[in-house]
Parts: sequence; C-alpha cells; structure tokens
Amino acid sequence: MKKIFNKLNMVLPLSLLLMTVVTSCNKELPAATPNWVDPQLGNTIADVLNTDPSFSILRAAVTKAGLMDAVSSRTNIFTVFAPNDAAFIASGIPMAAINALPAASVASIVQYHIIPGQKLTASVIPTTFPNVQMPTAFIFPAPNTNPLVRFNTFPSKRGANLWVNNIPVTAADINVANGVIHAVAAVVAPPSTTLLDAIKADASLTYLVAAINAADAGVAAGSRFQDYLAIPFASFTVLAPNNQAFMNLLTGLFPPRTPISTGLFAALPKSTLQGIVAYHVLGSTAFSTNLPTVATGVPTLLSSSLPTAPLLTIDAAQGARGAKNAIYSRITTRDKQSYNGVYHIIDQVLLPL
Amino acid sequence: MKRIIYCVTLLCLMLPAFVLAQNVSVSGHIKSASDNESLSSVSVTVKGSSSGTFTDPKGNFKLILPASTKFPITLLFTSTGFDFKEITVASAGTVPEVSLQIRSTLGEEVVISATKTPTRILESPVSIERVNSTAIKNAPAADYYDMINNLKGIDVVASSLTFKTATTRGFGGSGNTRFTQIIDGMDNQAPGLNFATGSIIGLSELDVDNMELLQGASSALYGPGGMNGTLLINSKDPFKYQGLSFQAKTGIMNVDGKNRTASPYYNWDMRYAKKVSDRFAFKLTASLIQAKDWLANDQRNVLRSGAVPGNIVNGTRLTDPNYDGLNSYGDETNIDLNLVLNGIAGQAPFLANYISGLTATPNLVSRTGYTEKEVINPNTINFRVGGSLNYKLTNSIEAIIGGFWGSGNTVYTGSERYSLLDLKMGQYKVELKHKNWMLRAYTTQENAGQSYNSTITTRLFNEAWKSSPQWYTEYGQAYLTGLLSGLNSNAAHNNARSIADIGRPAAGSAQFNTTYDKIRKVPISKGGGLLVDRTNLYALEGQYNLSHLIDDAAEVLIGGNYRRFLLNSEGTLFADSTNKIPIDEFGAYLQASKSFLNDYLKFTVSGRFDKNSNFKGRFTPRATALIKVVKDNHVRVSYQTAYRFPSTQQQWINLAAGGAILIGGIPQMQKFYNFSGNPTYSVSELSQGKLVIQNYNEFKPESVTSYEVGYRGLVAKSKLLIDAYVYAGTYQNFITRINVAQSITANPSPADVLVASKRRILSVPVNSPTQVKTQGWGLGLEYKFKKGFFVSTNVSSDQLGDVPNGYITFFNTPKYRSNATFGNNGLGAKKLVGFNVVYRVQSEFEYQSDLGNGTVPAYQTVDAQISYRFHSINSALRLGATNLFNQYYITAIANPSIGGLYYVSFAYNIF
Repeated sequence: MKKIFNKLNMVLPLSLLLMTVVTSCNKELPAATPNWVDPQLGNTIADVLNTDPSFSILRAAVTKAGLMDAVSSRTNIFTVFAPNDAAFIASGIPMAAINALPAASVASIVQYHIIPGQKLTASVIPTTFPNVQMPTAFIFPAPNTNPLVRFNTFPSKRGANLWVNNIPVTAADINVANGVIHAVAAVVAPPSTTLLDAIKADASLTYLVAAINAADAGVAAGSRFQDYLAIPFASFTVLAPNNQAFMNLLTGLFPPRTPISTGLFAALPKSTLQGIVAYHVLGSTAFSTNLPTVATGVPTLLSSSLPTAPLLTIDAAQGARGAKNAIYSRITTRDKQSYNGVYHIIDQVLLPL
Repeated sequence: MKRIIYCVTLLCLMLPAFVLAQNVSVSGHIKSASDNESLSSVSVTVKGSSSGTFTDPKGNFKLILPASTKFPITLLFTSTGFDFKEITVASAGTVPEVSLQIRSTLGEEVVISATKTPTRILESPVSIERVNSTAIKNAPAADYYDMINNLKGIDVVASSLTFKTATTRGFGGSGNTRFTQIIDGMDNQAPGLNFATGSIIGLSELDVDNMELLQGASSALYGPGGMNGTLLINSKDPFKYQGLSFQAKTGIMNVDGKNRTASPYYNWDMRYAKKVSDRFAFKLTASLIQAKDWLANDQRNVLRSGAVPGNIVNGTRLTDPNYDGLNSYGDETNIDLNLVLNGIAGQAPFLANYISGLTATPNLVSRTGYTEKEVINPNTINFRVGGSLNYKLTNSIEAIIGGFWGSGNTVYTGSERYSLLDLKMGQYKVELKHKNWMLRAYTTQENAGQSYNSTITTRLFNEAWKSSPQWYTEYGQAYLTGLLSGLNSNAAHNNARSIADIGRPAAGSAQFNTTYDKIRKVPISKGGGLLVDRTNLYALEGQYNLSHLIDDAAEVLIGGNYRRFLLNSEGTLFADSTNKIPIDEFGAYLQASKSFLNDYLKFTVSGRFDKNSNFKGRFTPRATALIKVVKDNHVRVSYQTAYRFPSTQQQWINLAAGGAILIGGIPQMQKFYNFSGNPTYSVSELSQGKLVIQNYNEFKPESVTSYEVGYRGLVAKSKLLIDAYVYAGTYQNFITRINVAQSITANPSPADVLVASKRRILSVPVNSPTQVKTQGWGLGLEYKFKKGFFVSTNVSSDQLGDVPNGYITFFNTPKYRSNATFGNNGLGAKKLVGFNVVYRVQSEFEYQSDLGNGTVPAYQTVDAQISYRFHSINSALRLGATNLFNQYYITAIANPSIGGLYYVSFAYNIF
C-alpha cells in the first residue's frame, strides 16, 4: 500500500486541482427574463386627488362613486378630465350637491370624465375634424349588455388648445403614474337622451321634426332618419335649422299667401325632402369648438348615399353653407349633446341642389 | 425475419460439406502472469497461417490443425491489455501453461478503420481514436455510447437520456447528418428519418468490442456522409468471447427533484455466445433501458419569423403576449391581434378611434402553450436484441448472418422536439469474410411507430379545443374590455388570455389526453402530428485486398458498394403517395499505399467515386503521408475530401408543417410544383416589398476539403503517448432551406404572392453560395504509471472562419473542450479494486437551430466509478455516477438539462 501512495504523489496534486475546479458550479439554465413592464411608479391619480386641495369636490365624487381604488391601482391606466372645485361650482355642482346626489348618479358623472385603458396626452389627440370619439368608463346601462358600449366623449385640439366635448382644458398633461390628468374648466356633463328625443323636445325645431317625419313616411322601419337618430351608439352631428328657417324656405317654395305649417312638408317631393334632411346630418360628432377655421367641404349623410352629392361648407367663424345657399347659415345655438352626437341650431335650411 | 430463417437453414444444410476428415490438436491453458487468473478470449494463432482459436472462459484452448501440419510450429498469443507472446511447439498435444504479462506500454492498439486494414494506432495516417472493451468495462458512463464523450475532438448533443448525436470538427446538432455511424459494417442512419440511431438501436453494451472514431472528413473510404467524422462500432466475435454474460445496472436520477421527482434507472444487458464447433459459433444479446427521461425545460422566449430560426429574447408568458417558450409547445401559433381589433372597429365604429390608438404597431399574440413536461411522456424505454451466426466455410472464409433490432421511446430534437414512441429499427446482414476480401449485404428496416411532432401536435390540440379564429376573437374582445375597465396594456393582455383560456383542458386531464392522443395518431399530412415512415435501405458492398497478387509490393485495396433507399411514408412524409420511391447510390473505391526508405515514409492514396440517381457522380480523393521520425514516433500529413448527398428528406420530402410546405430539392419536386410554369418568389425579398422570382441552381451534394498535420508518438520510455493534430477545412455548397411564395390560384399572377389567401409558402433546400472555413487542433496525452494507474487527458479546439454578417452556419461547437481521466483497473496484489474518474469541460458557445438561437453555457462534469471484483464468481460490483455533482447542463438549445445519475451494477463474466 505504501508504494501505491508513493506513486500517488504525482497524481494527488493533479486530483486536488481537479477537485477545486469541479466544485465551481455550472451555470443554471437561465430562466426566461421578463420583459420590462412599467411599474408605474410615482403619484397616482388618487394621490393627486388626495393631495391637491383644489380637487376636493372631485375627490369626494370619486370616493362616493367607489372609484378611488381603481384610480390608485398601478396596473390601471386612465385619461382623466378633472374639473377642480371652481369648475364644479361654476357648473352648479358644489360639494353639497355631490353629497346629496345618489352614489350611482355621482358615479356616472365621474365615469364620464374618464377614458380607461389609454393615456391620451395632448400630443396624441389629433388636430382633425371631426372630434375623436373615445369611450369613457361610463357603461351604457341596461338593457345594453355589452361592456364595450360606452358613453363617448370627444376630445379635440385646435392649435395649443384642448377640449373635451365643448369644455376647454385649462391645464393639459398632468402626468401621473397611472395615466394623465387634464384639468377642465367645467364639469363635462354626460348626455341623457338620444338626438331624436332631444330634437323632438326642442320647441324651436318642430319644423325639423315634421320634415324628418315627412321624409320618413312610407320608409321601412329601421331605415328611417328617426331610427338612425335614435340609435344610442351612433355618432352624428345635426345642423338643425330652426323653425323660422324652415318657414322661410316653405314661404319661398309655395305660392304667396299659402298658410305656412308643418303640414306643407307632405306636399314636397319625398326625394327632395329626404335629400334636404340628409344634407343636415354629418356621420360623426363635431363640437363647435372643433369646426374648421377655414371654409372646408364636409361630407354629409347625403354623400354616403349619393357620392356625387355636393359637400357642405363649414367655417367656424361664419357657420355652414349648402351648395345652393347664397350665404352662410349662422350657428345660433351650439353643442346640444346627446348619447349619439350633437346638434347645432342654424338659421337657414341648407340646400344641396 | 423469414428471410433470415431461410438463410440459416441453407447454411446448416451446407455444414457437412466442410467438415474435415483428419485432424491433430494442440491444447493448453493461459493465465495472467500477475495474478494467476485464467485468461479467456486470448487469441491463439499459428504464425504464418490462418489457423487460430480463442481460449474459453476457463482459459483453455484447443487448436485443431490439419493432419498434414508440419511441426514445429510457432503459436502466437495475443490479448487486449497484455503483451503478446510466442512459443514454439514441437508436436501435437498439450503445451505447458502460458502466462501473459499485463501490457505496460502504450500505442499498441490496432485500428482498422483508418485505412480499412489493421494498422497500429501509432502508424495511423489520419486522426483516429479508439475505445476498447477494457475501457468500456471500466468506464463510469452509464451507457457505453456515452463514452465517446471522452474522445478527443468530439461533441455530443444529448436530446434525451438515450438519444445522443455525435460530431467532430464542428456543425454539431441533434440528428446531425454529416457524421456517419457504422455498426458492424452497417450504416445505421435511419433511412427515412435521417438521424443516426447508434445510441438507441445498436449493440448491447456487453457485445461491443471496440469503437473507432475518425475525426473529420472521411468519405474517401466510407462513402457519402462522414463530412464531420465517422464512428465505427464493432461487436464481439462469438468464437472469441464465449459464454453467458450479464450486467444489471440500477440507478437513480433526478435526485434533487428539481425537474422531476427522483426516479429509478434500469439498464440490463445480457449476452450469450457459444462456439459449437471450431467452425460454428453464435451469439445472442439483449438489453433493456428504462428510466424517466431528463427534462427539457428551457422556458426562455424565442422570437421566430417564418421559418428563420429566432434569437432568444426577453419575455415571459406574463410579460410578452407573443411569448413562445423554447420548451413550450402550441405557443408557436400567433397572429397580429390588430386583425381582430380592426375587425371590432369595423363593427363598432364608436370604438374605431380608440382602437386606432392601439393598432399603430403590430400586436403579436401567441396562443397559450403547454410545457414539455406536460405533453411528452417521460418514460423512456429502449429494448434491443441482436445476434449472429458465424460459420467458417473454410479455414479462411467465414460466413456471418447477423442483425440487431431495437425499439423504444425516446425524445429527439429535429426542427421541433419529437416524441419517438414505439420507434422500431432493425439491421440485418449476411457477410462473407476472408483475410483478403469481404462481401456484405445488409438492410435497414425502419418504422417510425407512433412517433409524433410535439409542436405540431400541441398546436393542433389547441385548435381542436378552441379554434384560433374563436380564441382570438374572444381574446380581442376581452382585451378591449380589459382596457375599457382601466387595465393597462400588459394587464389587459393577461386578462384577455385568462378569459380566452377559460375551460382550457389541464395537461393530463382525461379531456386533454383523449384529444391529444387522437391528434398525435393522425399523420401530419392528414392534419395530425404523427410521423409515418417505413423507409428501408438495402445495401451491398465488397472489398478486395490485391496486395498478395502483387507480392506485397504495395498494399492495394479495391471496393464497391450499392445502396437502394426505398422511401415509404404512404405520402405522409415524402412525395410517395402513389408508390414507394427508390433512390439508388453506388460507389467504388481504390486505395494504394507503399512504404519507402525502410518504412520511414509511407504514402497512401485513396479515391472514391459515387453516384446517386438524383445527382451527378462525384469523386473524392484522399492522400496521406506517414513519416517515421524515430521508432514509435510518427508525423502524419493528409489531404482529405468528403461530401454528402442530400438526405432522403432533402431530396423527396413533401410535408406541410408549421405554415410552410417542406419540399425536396430535386428537379422532380420542382416539376411537381410546376416551378417553371408558376414561378416562385423569394419570401425574404417579399418582406422587403420586392417581387423577385427565385432562381434555382443545380442542387448539389455538399462537400468539404480538409488538410491535416498530426503527430503520434511514444516518449518518456514509452510511458507517455502523445497525439496532436491541426487541421483546416473548407465547406462548399452547404445545404440550407429558403422560403419561397407561389400562387395557388387557377390563373397565377405575380400579385397573388402578396396575398396570404392566394399563395402558399414552400421551403426548398438549396446550396448556399457561401464558402465556410473551419480550423482547429487537438492534443491528447496518455500516461501509464506503475501498478496500473493511468492518466489521460486531451484538449481540442474548433473554430469557424469569418462568415458574412447574419449568416447562419449551424456551426454549434464550443471553441474549447477538454477532458481528463484518472483510473486504475486493478489495484493491489489481487487487483480486486478498480476506479475511474473522468472530468469533462467545454466552453460556452452559440447554438443555432430551427428551434432557436442562443448561448449554450460552458459546463463541466465529473463521472466516476469504483468497482470490486469477485474473482471466485467471475463477477464485479460497481458503484458509479455520471455528473457526480448533479450539476445540470445542456448540450444544445431546447435540449434537456442533464443531471446526475447514480448507479450500482453487478456484472457477471464481462470481458
């Protein structure tokens, strides 16, 4: 045995070296490296509401609406149009009103100020006509069952100015960890009717309603103007001539001394009447704040059924003008908002041909 | 089988004809000088004649000689591990006891494969490594095939416990077709599946006589293939090694429970050989391996684009909606979610503005995958049987009928991970052997059994559970709903996945198994995952040594071979739906060598011509020079060429898999797909917006030219054996695949290929115009101490030359690898204890494959065994471990993590 160990003298150092080498470890098979996910560190929307005293009414409203957890979460992301206390008071909703309103009503007001799932900074809101249509956190109530169907809000940008619907943004791009806050000048009130109901309820538009009814007479249910204007998820802008405008038109169309009444529409050729009604409706929502500042041709519903139809000319400063109108119709009342769009009252009927 | 029985019967009928009338005999007993143990399997030959025999297990021999024998004769005794001995015998009868000295010198091994004639390893004109049965007996490896890991310059990719693929000098990878493996003279590449099956279907461990590895190009003698080396495994002669032997290894693996719970390992081998008479001997072998396989559990994310292998990128299932785990299957299916989102925007215009804010860039989303652990059965079984009937027709001609058959379950990595279930392959031969010539006919019979592609099957499983159109619609809606509830994008993706995956069958559930099993049993071509293949190979080869005809003025060998592949997949893998496709290959070679200057210089030139029915004939030369510097010190210089005909799949495959149709590269396939009438367009050009018709050059075999200088010699009083080489190789016409688009409309127009619904993507093998250069070196040292201690170590390096940026070579080889062995096969006076420690290390390297590209980390591993011999019962007990420290390592991307295996084995009568 001794001899063997003598011989081992040579190999022992070698094996010792070997042992030192092998006791160092093989690299573990690397695990998959997670992609960087923004931990959304910093102040959340909730932090801003809780620390900025000028948002005390909004804070109370968010709390009452049960949305404080959602706006604290760092895996959520929201674009919030935030009225400060002054804006609430200016809109006639003081703290006391928030306290008095049922929680569900407060929730719908708050939800209407929130665009969920995207951070829409001023830079991504386009300077385009019409407005961009964005779903809010306000889900259409029953009988709607689709969570994708929302009350919409319409941000827009002209130059450096930002609006949501027709409400100006007073301070844009307050960046927070879980989104962006745009302070607004007033409460952005959610609509409560359809365009059809709103127009019907407007005493200055009884001739328009009659014209729509007459144009719809004999048309299958579902394809009538009144059906379209009643679809809550659609998006229209109606340039609504007031009663006087229609009276002026009818006066010109019928022999002198014909008594002017809404009944006269039935006497007009139906296609003419349909053409005229269609010429007053845009297939998208355009708040007055976002109207083009230089005269711009805009397609109407008439263009969708008759591609060669003349465009409507719109100029924010002057109003709207049909192809056959000598002068612009002035917009006398602006931004009457409904679920499915907005109407502006004008003082002339727009004539395509 | 029937054929074999017929042949055996025929042979038996011929027996009486050769029985000789009158004989004399010389008998005796042989023992080891060191411990007086009887020595079996010692070769006893009469010097200057072809008469000879072997000692039986008790060390006795009886040499039958013709009555006409003229005494005195000289008997030559040789045995592995012992010095040879000559004695002179004056007359017939019993000779005094012969004792042999254990050999203490090195370099005395004889190799055959370097020149196809027996050559001392010291005088081999090309690089060669040899493993003899003594080494196998004493290796710590759990399976003999793993021993090749320790040879100089070899790389082994382990796709599973039993599926190993070897290569030398670069271009490694699972199922590598550039490395030829020949078992008992039969090429054991599966003729249809194209991978070498040496590690799963081949010899039983107890029947392996030796393994010889030729590094580098070796087509000149062994035919097409062998661009990156040839491994020859030879079995034991039943005349020489007789009796019953068995070995039972029982072990344990997965001991730390990291990937699987600890599980047993069984490896049983049996061999029985008997010399019935001086003319007739037979053997039977069987082996069984059973274990729970290593787990491929690389969950890193791979970025794929089309068929182009992707890089490993960051991302997990929870942080990348398009996550595609390396060993996670089914998540290869992906689409751009913008298709769904834009569809929703079309139906719900009130969301159009909102959605356009999401779809500015692609939103790739993959389906949810299942991990390898969930879809691949871990039970690996490997059953092999083999045997041969050897009959000496005359004193110098031996007829052999032999074969082996194997079946089992294992996992193989090809372009995807394949679960090889019930794979069967048999190789059968009839051979006539004479010292000057050889004639052999053999066949390889393959059956893919129930093997299936795990990726395709799992992807189809996902479709069967919930079709992608439905799943992605649900996902898209849920994604939007999530965003509209305030979730950020990542959270909305995870939410959408959890919703689209509601009701997804859990792996292993009855619902999962029923559906999965149904899909994996349907052929790939018919919308399932099953690999159907029963391709066979028939081969005939012969060789003649002309030297004796020219009075040994030079050594001249001629040989030839013929091979017929018969593709048979019933139209499921190859374009063979109407009938089996034959592919014929024939080749012939000539080798001449001559010594000059008193054997100080020996030149050998070889040339080989091969022709394949689908390719032009091809000549591959080899020239070597061996310079004797002083006795037992030789410098070798060689110029070698090798090439490879495209594999049967590269010729004839026709398989729709993974969004592209893989087709063969031969003109018949291009004609079948009407390339001339309906041109194909390069997909890589299309992706850059260009419409470029793909032109095809003649599809050629790939080839390599290699230069090598080596030295092998004995120094330090013949105690130290040194072997060293440097080489440089140039590869040409590498076979790669390109993707092209072709119109599928009735009246094809170029614009069709721009529209997904009007085109198909074909993956066509072509030759790469890029020349690739490699170089490397190796150094091996072997030292024998007294008392039987030995140390051997080697280090080798392979490097790729410059290639164009972004060019994928699949070089897949570490720059450095090294191993060292220290052991003693018989310690002490009675030589009862033996031990062996092997250390192996290799550097990290970049691995490129169809599954993904990434870094294979450097690793080191130690195998060790200690054994105790019970001389009285001719048995040994052994305690061994591979990867002793249970340090997991991978050998290639997406392949399993290999851990420690600890076993105890009992072996009886192993040689």
